[in-house]
Amino acid sequence: MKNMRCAIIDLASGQSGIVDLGEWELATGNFGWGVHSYNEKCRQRDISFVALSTGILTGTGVPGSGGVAWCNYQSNAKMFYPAEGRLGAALRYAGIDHLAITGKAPTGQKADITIRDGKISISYARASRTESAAKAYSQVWKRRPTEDSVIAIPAPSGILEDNWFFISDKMTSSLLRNMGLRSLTVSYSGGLQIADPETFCALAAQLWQTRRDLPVVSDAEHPVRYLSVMPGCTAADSSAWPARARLKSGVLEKQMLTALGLYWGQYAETLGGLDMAAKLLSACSGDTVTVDDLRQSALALNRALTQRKERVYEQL
Amino acid sequence: MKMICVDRSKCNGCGACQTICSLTKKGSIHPTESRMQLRRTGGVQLQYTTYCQHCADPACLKACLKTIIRKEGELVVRNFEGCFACSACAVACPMGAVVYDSGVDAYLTCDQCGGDPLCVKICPTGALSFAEPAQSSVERRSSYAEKRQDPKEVL
Repeated sequence: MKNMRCAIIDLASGQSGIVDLGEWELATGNFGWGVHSYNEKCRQRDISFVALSTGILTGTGVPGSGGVAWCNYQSNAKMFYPAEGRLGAALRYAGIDHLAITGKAPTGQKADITIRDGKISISYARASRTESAAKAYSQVWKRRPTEDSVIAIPAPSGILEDNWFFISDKMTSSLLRNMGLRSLTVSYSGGLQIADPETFCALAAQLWQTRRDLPVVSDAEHPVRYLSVMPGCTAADSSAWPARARLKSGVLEKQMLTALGLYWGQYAETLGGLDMAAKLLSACSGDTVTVDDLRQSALALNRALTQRKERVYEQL
Repeated sequence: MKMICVDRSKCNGCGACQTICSLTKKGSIHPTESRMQLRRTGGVQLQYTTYCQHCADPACLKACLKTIIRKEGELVVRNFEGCFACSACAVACPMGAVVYDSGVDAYLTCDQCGGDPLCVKICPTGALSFAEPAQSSVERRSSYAEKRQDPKEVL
């Protein structure tokens, strides 16, 4: 649970591997964006890549615990897009916490990535300019490894999960399309260990009962989201860089929650905010985590992101 | 006797019951080994949960090679300590509600948590209820009949 595993996939060569990013560590902010260290290496070598980063609470079964952050790196510019869905949770059940995709598929070909319980396979198919996201989904769906498989297709408007709702912004999806990715399929048979299951279960029940009072996502008018508290949320809800004005409005805390794997969005305070997150983290990891720890870590995270942004501006 | 009942028209496939079930029964999050199984057969309207229906004439009971499955009142119960994981019950179950638990190396089904199922308490859409099956059925039929009067609702 505490060790973060990053899958690195090179679409150009069709090679892939899994590296251990070390142990989860709150103090340095090295929990949701563990791929930063990898990013530094890529930056030095001027390699573009897109990463999907999950948090320690992604897939743990509490409301909104499908939280993930998409980080895309291109020409030293970095953006991130917090989202949720089943993909992040499925990746963690499959034994992967971060996914970094780099390289470009050979000319005239599109890559299909399949991850099954930590095993990565890449296949190539002839690219078709007229193929829609729905058609690509239908083809991949027919040969999905299991019924529970999560299929993500980079569509023109964003990455489309299960052919229904978007889990990324347009830019991230566009970058992946340009890299030649047609689909990403994740299937799993594993799970996640919880250090103190009894406490975690009580907290989860408490959260779900609170969630009952929030708007319900239950019919065709609203997209189904995995463990969602975000009714009708679309790609337009993204928050980008933590601008100073946004810091005061609590965006920093929301970012922090997403980094942990909780996409609580506007309901963060209703659901207990950092206090509840600290309790969940403590029960999940077995370490004692306080709200102050989270605040300090959020500031460290924000500092790191801001410094990086300033460096990008300097270069511009 | 009260049983877990599901109103599929309300189920949005969120998976909360699946994860909380595995957390309660296994002490870890393990969706594929949860006794509540979410079926995703494509499309938003085609997601629903399955779990042991405690059939009046259980196919699993007949299929079991070691006769460790029995009826106790209205409940189907099993002595998993004697299970040698042949999977006959899982194959026979028409609901696909028999799941393999790697922790005990046996096939298991929903035991209704002794009459206090957490999955029902946490279901965010109210799709799951713990009620008399007949009463639950009447409510669902009435609800459907009401919707029938407004065709838009049904569609």
